[in-house]
Amino acid sequence: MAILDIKLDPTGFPVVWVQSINAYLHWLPVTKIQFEFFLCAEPSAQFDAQWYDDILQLNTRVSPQDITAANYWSAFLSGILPGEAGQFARWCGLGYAIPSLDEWRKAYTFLKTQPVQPQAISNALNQPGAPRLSDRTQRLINQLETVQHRAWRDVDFNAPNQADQMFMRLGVLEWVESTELLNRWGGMGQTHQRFHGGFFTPDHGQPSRPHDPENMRLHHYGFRLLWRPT
Amino acid sequence: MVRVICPFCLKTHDFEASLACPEKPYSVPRPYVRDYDKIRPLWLLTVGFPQHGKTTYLAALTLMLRNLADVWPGVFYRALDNHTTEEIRKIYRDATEGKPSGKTPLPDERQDLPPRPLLFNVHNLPEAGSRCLIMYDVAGQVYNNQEVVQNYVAALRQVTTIWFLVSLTDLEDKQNDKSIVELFNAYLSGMEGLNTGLQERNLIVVYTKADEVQFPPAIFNYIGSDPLQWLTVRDSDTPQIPEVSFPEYVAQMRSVSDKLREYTQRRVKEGSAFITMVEEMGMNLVFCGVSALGQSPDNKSGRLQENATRNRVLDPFLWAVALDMPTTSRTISLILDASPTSQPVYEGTLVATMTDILDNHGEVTTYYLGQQMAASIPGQLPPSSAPITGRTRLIGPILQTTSPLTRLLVVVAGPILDLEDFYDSPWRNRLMIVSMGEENLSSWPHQFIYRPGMDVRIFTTRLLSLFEEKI
Repeated sequence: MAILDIKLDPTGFPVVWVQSINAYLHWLPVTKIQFEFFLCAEPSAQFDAQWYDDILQLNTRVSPQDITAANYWSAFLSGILPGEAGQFARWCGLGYAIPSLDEWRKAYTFLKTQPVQPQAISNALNQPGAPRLSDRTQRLINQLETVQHRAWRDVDFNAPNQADQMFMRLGVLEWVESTELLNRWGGMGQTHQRFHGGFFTPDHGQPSRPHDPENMRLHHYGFRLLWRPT
Repeated sequence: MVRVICPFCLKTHDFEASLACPEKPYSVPRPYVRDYDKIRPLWLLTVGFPQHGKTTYLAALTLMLRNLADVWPGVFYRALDNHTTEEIRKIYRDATEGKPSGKTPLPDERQDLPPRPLLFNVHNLPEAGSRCLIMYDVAGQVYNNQEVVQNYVAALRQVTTIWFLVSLTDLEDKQNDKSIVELFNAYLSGMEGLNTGLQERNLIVVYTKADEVQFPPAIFNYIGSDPLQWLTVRDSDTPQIPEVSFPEYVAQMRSVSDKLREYTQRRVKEGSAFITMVEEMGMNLVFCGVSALGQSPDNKSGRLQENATRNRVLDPFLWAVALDMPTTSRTISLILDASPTSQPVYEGTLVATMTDILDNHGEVTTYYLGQQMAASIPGQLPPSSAPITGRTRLIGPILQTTSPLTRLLVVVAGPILDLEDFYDSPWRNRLMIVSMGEENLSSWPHQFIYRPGMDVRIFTTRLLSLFEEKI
């Protein structure tokens, strides 16, 4: 099994090379821990304590060691507006962006053909010269991987793949951008029904289309970024 | 600019507007304010019964300090105000006339406390650099009166080093009927009711008039063979002053302190109880013996019959310096709640006092909880209020960029959102939380509640103890 090409973003979370889009993609939907780095690095009136309180009202916070199959989605940041996600992308640096609908689809289509790789991140980062995860990040990734198998069993995912391993299904609905969408922004992915009921799945190919994506917070909407090093 | 504490009222005020103390009729010396961040203050209090040789000792010490350059080239001292100059001149006059100095005057009943201190800088001490001595010489009679001593000691809570001057021969005098425990109790009574912990305070027991005590040979020889005893008697026949290494000298003092401790346990009335009491209070206890005059004065005239040698007179001073030396290898982060409800954290002098104390033990950097950039770096004033934009109570991003050698004191008015992420991490033993009030307590192992009026030293001492824990 090929070792994944993994780099770390400015928050120390992994991004993985996805050949089909010629870019790195976050291994996980952006987590609350990642966004908290942004909040602490650039405190602002926009992203103040009240803002984060409101976000946590929509999807509460869970510590890595407390993650279970019944709450793991609380580790991901959701309830965020696409404009706010864009600010996080800009803070991450050059080459980081919210994927377009087309990029997301291409990545998903490729990754769902790839097998699950147990301990994928640990193995990739166990190479000489590879960057190191912080203990907290490592714990979060390990815990998510542990509960993921239970979640797959719960929903009868009999043949999970790498896209599932990356929570492109059973994660959050992820913001994607497209000029073809009426409101510019759509959601790709699939939520666990205990988090948010619905029938959206990326396998149908169509994004969810929120009415007012730039103003209305949706508790099950999060995002991940792609990164093209410049 | 650091927060300057007035030596007269022991509070901070706006020294840029005026050097005059708003509560006392004195002006704070300009060099004291100007150099406060470079020449750190060393707060000293003398405690001792009347006639136990306290003032005589101080006289000898000031004379020794004048001549320190003969031991360590480059060392000099400077009185910072006229009051100190006059007091030292008087002491010097008495000493050169060969008579012991008189008693410290009793406090004027009408005068507010604290008493006026002697203020002088000692520059370029080996290892320790320059220090500003703020010395409160309290009359021995004060310690005979529980009520008076309470007022005195309470006024001097800032003082971290106490010279406990005891003449063992006078203590053993049956007519006196005093014990070392009584003296300590007198000091303690002053601290009671202040919610003031004694941890980390330095109690230096100075056995005065050591020439009159039958010490075991090892102690006797140490005191008698002081290489600096001729420092104040310089003529062509007096021995050369040898080179003295500060660390080696401190090591010798420590060895003798251990011997004096044992002597105190075995031979001094209530000595064992005294040691137990002090150590249970968490104070740093060391012992030394001095002979300010090298001999007893003539019984009738009270005057010396020979030039006074000074045996181990510098030891209490060097102990005070050694015990108060900052451990610069310690890095400390003080992390302050900056959420919209953090106001109680900034009320009163809690933050400033914590910083003052911790500054003496390492390099203190202040952060706002929820902000990675430091709010103040070592040497700067800590923030006196939260920023206008409320920060989220998050600590993870700060911890992730903090060295594992750092210890953190976090002051909060509410729960820290991501603290639980670190429950199973080594930060458990590196981070202490002080919570304003009883609400929102977590099960973090090092967590304490702050109530107004509590002595901040309780927390800082606990924090410093985390440096000793094995992780």
